[in-house]
Amino acid sequence: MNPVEPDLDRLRRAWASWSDGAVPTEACPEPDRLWAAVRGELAPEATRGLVEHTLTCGACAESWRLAREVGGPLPLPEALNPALGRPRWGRFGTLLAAAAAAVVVATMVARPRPSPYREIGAVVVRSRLPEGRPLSRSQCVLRWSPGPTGSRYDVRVATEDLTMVAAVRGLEVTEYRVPEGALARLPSGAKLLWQVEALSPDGTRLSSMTFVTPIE
Amino acid sequence: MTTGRGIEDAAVWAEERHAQLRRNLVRAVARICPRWLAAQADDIVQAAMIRVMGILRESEGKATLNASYLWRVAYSATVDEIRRLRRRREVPLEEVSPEVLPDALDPERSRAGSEIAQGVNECLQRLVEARRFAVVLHLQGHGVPEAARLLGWGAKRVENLVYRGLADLRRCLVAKGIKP
Repeated sequence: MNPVEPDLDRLRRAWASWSDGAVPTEACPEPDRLWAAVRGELAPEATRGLVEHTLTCGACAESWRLAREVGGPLPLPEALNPALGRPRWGRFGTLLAAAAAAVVVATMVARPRPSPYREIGAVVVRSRLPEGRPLSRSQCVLRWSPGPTGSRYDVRVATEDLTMVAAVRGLEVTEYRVPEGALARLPSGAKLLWQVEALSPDGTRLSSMTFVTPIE
Repeated sequence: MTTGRGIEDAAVWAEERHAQLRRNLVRAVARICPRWLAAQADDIVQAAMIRVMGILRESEGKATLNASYLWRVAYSATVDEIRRLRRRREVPLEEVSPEVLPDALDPERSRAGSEIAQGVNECLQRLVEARRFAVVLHLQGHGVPEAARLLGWGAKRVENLVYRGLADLRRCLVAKGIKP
């Protein structure tokens, strides 16, 4: 307890509890901006504007506290700069970035996901495409096994370097035709990474693994 | 011209770099992520990794990824996940409350706490603007020197604003029948 302001802890708890379950709105600033404000990286006028927003937005008030509680000079256990400096083969930066991105993708694909988030009971969303067989650009139809009865599906499709190719929400069927135009700039043999999220009628979400499908 | 060895070295370097980035993001997310969101920590790390790799790709590997930047990415990914869950209303109140309001496990005290919270919010909105800014930062946990720096005012002025603002807040709460 603060000896000078005996009720301060209680006031702070009351203020914090006002954020419980608060739903963000379209007016909420980007998290980056809240972070910058808390760390004193914004102009005072801008910071005051954000403080005012937190008065009417419990969600942002909570986010503000999260940023503040991190506090300090923020060291990370592993020194980053020496190891992350540019290597001798600097002119191959693109190659390196692509290789690193590929590792991320490989992790996405290989990462074991046993959590309930990925499975509901025995239901698992799986690809129904023959593994490794390329799809034609004009008939690039992604298919998957159904989620719980009555599910709707959100699908995201990206390239290996994680550039978004297409996305769709609320499908009622277990297939999605990727628009041919979205594939126009991809080279022959490019691999599509795609993921399905099933939203069941009771609001439960079920995400698939990330599938990899080449295109002709 | 790229030699085979050069490509192998580059690939090894990229893999080490990825592993290091991931370890650091795991630690940052673990520090930032509220307890009630811990089940989503793995997904938050993955989202943060994708952002970092996107920056690397756009900069053709030239981006400087210092610790400050990684903390910011970890924070943004965490807040995005909180917002996503809140918009879908997937976070039951009872999962949130115990962390910030220990009274929440007792329904009667919880109701009283909720009334105080609402009262505090209403009273804050009635404060004179400058006092309001200072008191809100004070309630968010900022000390006077830090609040002064964020608001761009002198420490003495902010100290005065906090003092007077808290007095106004208490008076307002008492007028509402709430004992602060």
